[in-house]
Amino acid sequence: MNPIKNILLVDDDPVEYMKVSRAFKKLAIPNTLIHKSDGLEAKKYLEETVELPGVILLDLNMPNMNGFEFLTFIKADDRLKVIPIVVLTTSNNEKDKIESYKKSVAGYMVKPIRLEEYEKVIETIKNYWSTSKLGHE
Amino acid sequence: MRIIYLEDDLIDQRLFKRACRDIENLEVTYYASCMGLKEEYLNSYDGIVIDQYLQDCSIKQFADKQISIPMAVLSASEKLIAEHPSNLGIWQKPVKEQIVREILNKMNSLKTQKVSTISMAYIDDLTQGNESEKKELLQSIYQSIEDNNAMLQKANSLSSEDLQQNLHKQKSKVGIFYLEELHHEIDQAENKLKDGLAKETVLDAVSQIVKETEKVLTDLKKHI
Repeated sequence: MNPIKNILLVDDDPVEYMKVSRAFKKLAIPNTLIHKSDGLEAKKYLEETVELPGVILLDLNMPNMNGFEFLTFIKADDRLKVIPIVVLTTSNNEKDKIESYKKSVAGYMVKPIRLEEYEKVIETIKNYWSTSKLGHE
Repeated sequence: MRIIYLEDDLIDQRLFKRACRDIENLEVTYYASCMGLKEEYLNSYDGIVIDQYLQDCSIKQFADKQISIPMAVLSASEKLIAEHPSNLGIWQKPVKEQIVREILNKMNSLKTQKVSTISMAYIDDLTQGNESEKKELLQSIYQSIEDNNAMLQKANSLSSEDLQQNLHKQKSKVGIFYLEELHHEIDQAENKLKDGLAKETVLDAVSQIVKETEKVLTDLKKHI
């Protein structure tokens, strides 16, 4: 049986975690959402966990280890570099987009302000990374 | 310009139509009640003109709505019975073209001055009616906005990178309350710094952001 994979959210803002979590609930996404507050915490988690997440949702502006530093770490690790990473950020800056895609992210989504649009973004991620990648049938 | 006119008296609606007939580029949508009209829908217009004494939706009930567009009250009385942060004032009926033009001018000038009314829609959704959780969340966001604003007040002495970080944090927080214009202003300043422009190019904008955020904090305090 293909187990439903976890989804890892790396974001220093607890309100963002609440927003994603709420959207998961509303959209009935069955995957467990694991939250880490910065790149360093997420790095430690990935180094220690046996079960890798199906997708990583990554913020860019974070303390300790920011999103780009985290991407550099992931892409240099053969075990981890296969995990698709979707950048979920408030930055619509072109430099950030280019830099993210240079580091081979699977997607770059700008966090919308409004709730209903935010949910659409999460739904897009869900639809795109559904079935085999996230493990639901 | 697109406005909504909320009026349950058909004669007053007709008088309003007549007063508007020679005004160019004006689109008026008429409703006899505000019941069932969602805030998001109302906020998609450029302004609202409302009768002070609607039968099934008094201006007092309307005052609780999170309206972020300018609102003008029409009444046969001179006294306003309920305040709203978006309110431009009260005009006396019967409505004439000159009154409509005056209201439209005020609405137009406010469009550039920005009406920043905080919306609790997101917070309400996140806390699902749990009042203590809502207060706790608001308190923590309030504190965060206040701390960021204190840092932004010292923009002159911050490094470009620290200023950018603080703008970024503030942007996320004001977005929670659907303060789109303030969010946009902060985003622009942040992007300038990210694109390598000198800190001095954003200092005026940051000073304006600080002032607007102070107003937001005052509004927010009422909800805590």
